[in-house]
Amino acid sequence: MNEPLASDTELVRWARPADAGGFPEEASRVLAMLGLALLSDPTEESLAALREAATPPVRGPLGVAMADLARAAGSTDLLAARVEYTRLFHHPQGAICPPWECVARDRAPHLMGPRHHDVVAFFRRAGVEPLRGESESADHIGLELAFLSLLASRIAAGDDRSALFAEFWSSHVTSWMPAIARRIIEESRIELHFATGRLLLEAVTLQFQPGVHGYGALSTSAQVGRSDRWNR
Amino acid sequence: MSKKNRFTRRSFLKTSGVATAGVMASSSLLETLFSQAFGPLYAAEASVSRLITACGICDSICGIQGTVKDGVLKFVEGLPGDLHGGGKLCAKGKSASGFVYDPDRLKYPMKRTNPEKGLGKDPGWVRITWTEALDLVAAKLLATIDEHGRDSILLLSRPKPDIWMRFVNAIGTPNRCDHMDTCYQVQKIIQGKMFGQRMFGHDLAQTRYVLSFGWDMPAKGKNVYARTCAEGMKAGAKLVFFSPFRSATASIAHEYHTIRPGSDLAVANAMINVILQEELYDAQFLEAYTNFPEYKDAILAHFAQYTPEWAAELSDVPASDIARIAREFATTRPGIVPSHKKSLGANYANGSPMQHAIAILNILNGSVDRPGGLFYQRLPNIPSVDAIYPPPAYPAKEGTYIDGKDRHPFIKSAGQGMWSTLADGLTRVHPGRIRMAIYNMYTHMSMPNCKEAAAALATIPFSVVIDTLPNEVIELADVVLPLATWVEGSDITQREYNGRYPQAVVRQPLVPAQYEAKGLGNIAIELGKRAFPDYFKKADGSWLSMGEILDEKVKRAGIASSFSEFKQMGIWSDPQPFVPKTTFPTSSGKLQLYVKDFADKGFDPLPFWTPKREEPSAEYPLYLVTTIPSVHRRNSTQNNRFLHELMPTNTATVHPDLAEQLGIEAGDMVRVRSRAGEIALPAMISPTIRPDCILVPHGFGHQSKLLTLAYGKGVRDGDLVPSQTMDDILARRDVGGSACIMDAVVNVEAI
Amino acid sequence: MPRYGFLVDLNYCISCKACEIACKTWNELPTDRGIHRRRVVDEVFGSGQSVTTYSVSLACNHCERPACVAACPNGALSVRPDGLVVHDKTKCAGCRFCESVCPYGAPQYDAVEKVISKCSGCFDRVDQGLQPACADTCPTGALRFGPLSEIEREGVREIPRFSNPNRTWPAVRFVSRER
Repeated sequence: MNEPLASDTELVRWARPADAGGFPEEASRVLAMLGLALLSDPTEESLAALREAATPPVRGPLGVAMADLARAAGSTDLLAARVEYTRLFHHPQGAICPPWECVARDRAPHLMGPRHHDVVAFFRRAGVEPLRGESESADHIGLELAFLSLLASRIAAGDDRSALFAEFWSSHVTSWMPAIARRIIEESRIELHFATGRLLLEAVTLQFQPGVHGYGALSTSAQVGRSDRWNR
Repeated sequence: MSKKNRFTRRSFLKTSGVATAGVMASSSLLETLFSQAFGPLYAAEASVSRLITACGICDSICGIQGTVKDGVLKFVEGLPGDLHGGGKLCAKGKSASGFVYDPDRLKYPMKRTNPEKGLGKDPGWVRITWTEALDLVAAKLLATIDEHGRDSILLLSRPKPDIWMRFVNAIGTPNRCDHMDTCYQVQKIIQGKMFGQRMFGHDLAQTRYVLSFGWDMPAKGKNVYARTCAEGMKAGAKLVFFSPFRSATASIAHEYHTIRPGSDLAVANAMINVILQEELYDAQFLEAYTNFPEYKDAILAHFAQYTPEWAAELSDVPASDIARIAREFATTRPGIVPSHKKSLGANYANGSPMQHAIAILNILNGSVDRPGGLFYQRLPNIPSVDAIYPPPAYPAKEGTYIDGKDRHPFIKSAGQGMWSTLADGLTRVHPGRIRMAIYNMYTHMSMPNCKEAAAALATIPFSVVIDTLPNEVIELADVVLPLATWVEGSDITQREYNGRYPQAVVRQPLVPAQYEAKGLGNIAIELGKRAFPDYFKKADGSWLSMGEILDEKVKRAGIASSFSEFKQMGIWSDPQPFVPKTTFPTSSGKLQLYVKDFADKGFDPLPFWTPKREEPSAEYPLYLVTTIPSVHRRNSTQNNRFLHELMPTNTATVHPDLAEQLGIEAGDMVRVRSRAGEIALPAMISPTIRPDCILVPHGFGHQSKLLTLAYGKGVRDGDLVPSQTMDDILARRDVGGSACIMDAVVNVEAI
Repeated sequence: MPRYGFLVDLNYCISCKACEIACKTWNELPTDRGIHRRRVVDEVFGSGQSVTTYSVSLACNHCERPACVAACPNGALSVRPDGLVVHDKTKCAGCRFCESVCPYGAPQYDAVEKVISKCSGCFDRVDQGLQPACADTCPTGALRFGPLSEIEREGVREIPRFSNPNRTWPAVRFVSRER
């Protein structure tokens, strides 16, 4: 499947300053929600934050997916969510979706390697560091999404980082996040992670169609509808 | 993340405005996330630091200088002035960063949520906090001891560090097993009785003659041995090598003999005979420092039966060469017959008499504790943790010895534990006796008959795995504790292999332990506090800590005023002159050629010719020979990306004559069968192996799926090696209890 | 300025491959695409009772008449005053001409980055007065590095299976097998 180009995804457009037609605060929230859901295994604190994250509502399909994720965060059993996070991302007998870009893209991946350094260089251009004490490779999906969220929040505050955002997006998002999003959707056994995967897929593949106003007309390349499995 | 750090980061976020920008409705969302993701910019440009540490690949523990750039380990090199490494490192040590940044590492403590174990059953792993993990393990340990006794606990772990041994001793189980019967055990028992010391330094740099029976250290890439051996050779030493396989040691040797597997003892005994008959030994040395005068007649009579002609029949080494090399060795002084774990001791059923014969040859040369010979290492006097903080009396180690070592007078006192008899103990002798196992950096891949061992270990109801990587036993685990790699550890290392004078090198973290991994010392203390608090308190009632233990050790050893000062120094030496010993630490003060202690317990006091366990037959016409490749350390390095690239898998080396007989060409698959099992692997055709042997490199065939690089690559030589029982060992009166890790015969067919 | 070269002693190479890892780690080379700037070759000659084995550590020989430099259309390869033949990745178009003309397989194509990867003689270390990473770690001293004028006195230009040195004048000498 052809992945959309970096420049034509909806979320990249959102991450422009408001006066350039963007919705940076909303972009920041979408990405923060994903970052929080993926950075580490669920806690009471993170689930509470996810529950609140879809309010006030965000427009369009992304808003729908956010609301689904918030609802899933509200109804999940914490232990089940932690077991599922471990199974998907850190299983000692074979994680299903290892959460690092290097693992997804390199044949002999190593943490703290070239991907990490490249991401760190981006972080520094924005004046931050990945937290060192946790010794997590910066190409972790949660950190990459958090970084994008940070840039979007800066843009919302009037510091136009949209060029850096777009550059990071094309270097570190399009090449692997659609695939891992699909894998999460296929493999998840609970709604929390299904909804996370779905929001991620929408966020990284939803295409902006110029000339079409109104979000109902947006198309997604995801081809993944909502499953009936968890409809209540 | 500690609470303190979190607070600092939060403060940073507030003051720097990172989180406040653009935040309207979801400030808690953004702040929750950003506080976990970002810190302040700490360096305008990359910082570079250089730290000294000590390698943790093998027991050589070579000194290392590491370069850390921007918090990431970039490069390691040898530490100049180090007695072991000599400023050099091997391929495995140089691959340090490959261990630290392996994406497959165990990162967090975890527990199983699905109590049902078995193939295809999802364990339902969940990440837990260290506190929960430690509480859980300690509670289970105490409950198991309470219900089933101390001897129901099995630890598969090495005896280091000493604080870990305090934890083991506090459990009070006789069942701590390590891999020593596949390794040093024979040496430790034989040398312990003959020399009064179990392990020796080898002064290869100053020797004039190296007579090697299967001692293959250069080909294993062992820096300390290869380097000093080359130094000796450049100064004129001769290297003579006996082995069925023409390894890289043969490549650099002056003389190589392709000996029949397991017949080295015949050659060594014949050489001793020649030296005794022709009185070529160092008579002065024997007279003054050994029990030779006391047992001369018995010794001469014993070896007279072993003629070079007799040995030639068994070994395929010409009698004239045996006699000539015996004369050369005896009269070229100092000379040395080195030995090292897998070099014969653990390989065959006759490993013990072979080790005995090697020791006698060294004594006949008069080089023991003389420059150029075997020497007693001069070590720094580093006190043990029990000497610094005396513990209450430990419980007696009573009850069931699951490996049966209590039935053997010498193995029991060597105190290690057996791989080769473990499966028999777990399944046949004492089924159901072991209720809980703690694995530390061991898997069944290093045990004879791996499949049988895996099935036997699976009978244990509760297992804890402490490891850096998700090795095979993870399948059995109930709790997983992530272990720091040696690159992230702290310790004081002494120079045991080449300690001509006392020297210590610091081990310190080149980078902090990744994710939530912890060192074994800290794990021991944390488990100890919970399960056996009395053993983990100081006299004033406060808890022991690793930091204080290391501080006290360096202080009392006179190395530095604190461990942090030692970290700055890196290396400490006391270059006192080498004064050869004139009395030796045996009961009589003399070296024991004839070992009366062995005779008293019904074992052979002198090395009798004993055949290997298995000889070729019509069904199994070939010898199995195994080897450890220079670029791997047993089964622990196959997932390191640097070493994996150099050697990802193993192939069987087959002689061209045998290949022709089998009708195979290079790369064809062959099936190798023994009475224990079978493996299938591609053949490599080379005249470097005898036509009656097949060579299989050890360490491959990982079954754990999370070892992304190593999984499913190659096969396990251990599947071909039969396990044994303590009855077997006692029946052959094997004083050292060799695991017979190469003592198998096989057949081979093309697939 | 002296001209540098490598000295390889066939009597002491134990095929431990520490030199290969030293090269990989110092130069931060990838491990997933078969790039081996330095590699140890295990040689086996003869059959039956008269078998000879030895190992040789080989890399770019920093030739005095380097075919690769002449072949490069982009000026990506050049010779430093000390004789080290160096490669500038930024000028490399990945045309692989150098690869095709080198008799020693020194320039290797990185199919991922689409440029050539080649031994630099660790000139960054040499400039600091250090040995190249490979020679620096060799436990037995089988691989050494130094002024060509010195190593020339210790070794010969040819060993079996080594390409005719009269073509490109490689700056490598060998201590032949004596045993």
